[in-house]
Amino acid sequence: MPVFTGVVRAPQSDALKHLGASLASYGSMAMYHMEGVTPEAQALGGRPKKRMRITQRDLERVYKGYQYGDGATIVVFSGPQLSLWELKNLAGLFGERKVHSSIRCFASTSRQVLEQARALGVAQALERAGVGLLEGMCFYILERLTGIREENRWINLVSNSAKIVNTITAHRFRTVLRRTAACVEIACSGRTE
Amino acid sequence: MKIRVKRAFGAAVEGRALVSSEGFSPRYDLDRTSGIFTKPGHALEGRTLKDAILITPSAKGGVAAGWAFLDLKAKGFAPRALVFGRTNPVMVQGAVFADITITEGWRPDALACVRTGDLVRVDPSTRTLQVLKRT
Repeated sequence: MPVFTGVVRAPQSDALKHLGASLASYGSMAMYHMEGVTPEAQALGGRPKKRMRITQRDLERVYKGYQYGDGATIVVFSGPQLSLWELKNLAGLFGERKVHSSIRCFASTSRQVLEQARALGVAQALERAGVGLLEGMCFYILERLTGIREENRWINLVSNSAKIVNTITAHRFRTVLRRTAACVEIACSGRTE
Repeated sequence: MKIRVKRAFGAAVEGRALVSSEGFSPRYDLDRTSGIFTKPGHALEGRTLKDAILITPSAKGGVAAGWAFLDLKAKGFAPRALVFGRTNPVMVQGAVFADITITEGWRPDALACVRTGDLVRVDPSTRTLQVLKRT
C-alpha cells in the first residue's frame, strides 16, 4: 500500500479521487495513504519496504511521453464521473469559448450530479460550449466503444484522467494525458501540440 | 506436473493455458465485443480469452470486474478458469457471480512452469493446477 509524503498543497477530494482511480487502473491497489491528508497516515509509522521519489520533472516527463496519431481528436472528461465541483470548474474554464469544429468533447457524470448541475445552470453552460454531457456512466464503459471510435474515425483521445488514458487503449485510441486547462485549450483551439 | 494453489473456487476444468507475464482486467485489456486482448503492448495482445485457462500474476482494476465476467460469459467469451498469483475480492466476487473457476497463489511459480498452449487442469477440490500435456 503506497503512502504519499511530502505533499505540499492540500488536495481536494476530486484530486484524491483521480489519484485513487489511476492507481487502481494500473494495479489492484484499493487504498493509499497521504501524510497530512488521510486520517490513518499518521499512525502507520514503521519503515517503508520501498521508497520512490517523484519530482515535478518526473511528471513533466510523463506528460511529454504521449504522442498523437494522425486523425481526429476527442477530448474526454470522465473516469471517474465528474463531481459538481469539477463540472463547475470546467464550465469556468470554457467560459464563452466553444469546442472547435474539428474536435468532439464529452464529459460524464452521475444522474444526481447532472440534475444539480442543470439546476445551477452549469450543465447548460457546458452544452452551450459544445460539450456533450453523458449521464450515468464513464466514457470507457460505453458499450461497443471500438465500433463507435471506428465509425467516427476518432484516433486520439485527450483527457485529464490518468485512469482513462490507461484503460481505454484496448479500444485502440491513441491517448494523451493533459492537465484540465490544457484539455480545454485543445478542445477550443483544435490544436494538438 | 502439479502446482499447488492456495485458494480456489469453482468446478474442475480443463483447457489450454494462456499465460501472461502481466496483470489482467476484464474491462481494460479486451475488446469486449470479441474477447480478444486489444490493449497495445499487452503480453497477450491479439489472443482470445475465450475458453482459456488464464494464468496471470495479478489483477488490475476495481469494481467493474464484479459484473464484467458475467458479461463476458453472456457474450460467449468467458475463460474456463482464472489462475492468479495474487488477486482481489472484486475479481473473486465477479468470478463466483459468473460461475467461473478461480484460484489464487501458487507453488511452484505457475508462470515459470506452464506455457501458453499447454493442456492444463484446474481442480479447486484438490487445490491443484496440473499440466496434462505440453504444447
